[in-house]
Amino acid sequence: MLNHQPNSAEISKTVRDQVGLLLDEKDLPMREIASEDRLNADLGLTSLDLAILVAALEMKLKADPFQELVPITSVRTVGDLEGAYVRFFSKAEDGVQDEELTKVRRRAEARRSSPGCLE
Amino acid sequence: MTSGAGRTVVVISGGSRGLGMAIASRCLSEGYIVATYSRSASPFVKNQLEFDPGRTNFFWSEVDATDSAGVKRFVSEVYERYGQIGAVVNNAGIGSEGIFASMRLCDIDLCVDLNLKGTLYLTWVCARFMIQRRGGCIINISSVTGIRGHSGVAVYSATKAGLDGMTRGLARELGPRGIRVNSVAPGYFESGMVDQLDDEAKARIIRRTPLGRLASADDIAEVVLFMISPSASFITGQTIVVDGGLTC
Repeated sequence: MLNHQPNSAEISKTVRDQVGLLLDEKDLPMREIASEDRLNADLGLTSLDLAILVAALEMKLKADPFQELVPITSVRTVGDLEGAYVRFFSKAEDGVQDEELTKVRRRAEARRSSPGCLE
Repeated sequence: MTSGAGRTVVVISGGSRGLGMAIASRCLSEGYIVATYSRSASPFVKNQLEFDPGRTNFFWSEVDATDSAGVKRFVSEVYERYGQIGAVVNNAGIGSEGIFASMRLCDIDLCVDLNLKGTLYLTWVCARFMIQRRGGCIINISSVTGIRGHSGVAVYSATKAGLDGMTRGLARELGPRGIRVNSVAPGYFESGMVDQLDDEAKARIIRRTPLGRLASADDIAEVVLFMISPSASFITGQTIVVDGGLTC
């Protein structure tokens, strides 16, 4: 687990290590993993494998960019996956939030603070 | 990390009282590690915590099951402490009774939030650990009201039928990773929910039940225990009805 905010190179290495581990676990052919490799067509990974990758990467990187920032359906390649985490950490670093993300967070806050039947 | 020595960790939502407590007790007596949460500590929880200060066998936190962030924190803490999530029992739920057209909308929200969304939250978090471990067991406590029509419990029935749908969908999705997903659907059993029925209604249910009595919480807990155990290793995607034959 990384204990600091990772840079792009660290993110890339972590993502590719996890992809490699998954290929090994599934007895798929090991190979040099490139940014343009398509997860499904080139590496043979399924959508469930992608979910496993995201769960494993959350434990390694302490981040899940697919909850608010990036739709998981937009991830086709290893580079897409790396890019999602790079984007997540660059947002965190800049403190910049795009308009859509701000709206999502406002909606979530409103839901949490609305008076329910429990009170 | 607390040493679990390979023992299975069972996460139970709402394990402080009623059926959840019965399931937690039976799991503890069978040697499982039990991790549970509820909105407040019951005498059962206080007793367990007092006799297990090292949290070797029993872990509890105050969590509202409808708070997805709180549920996620709880499960992460359990994972960090014991190193695995072996089984989940989605037990937390609330009854909701009344003529549908005159119900308060906030009561509908409360029932759906706790019974359905709360269950989805816990399952979502645990599934992320289980798919990495290539194994696990998910039990949803549904109800016979999700299977047969009963007047006055439309919202409750909707949430419980929703759980059964989730059971079948997830069984297909997670089966390839060695994760079993099943529902246990109790009929009427001695609980706070049944206590709200008058004597005449209880007598009518017993009359219509081939086995001639209401279930006890232990009757249900025994089935949950079986479904968690390796004896049920080839059962997935099923709803096991435990109702003394009421719906047969």
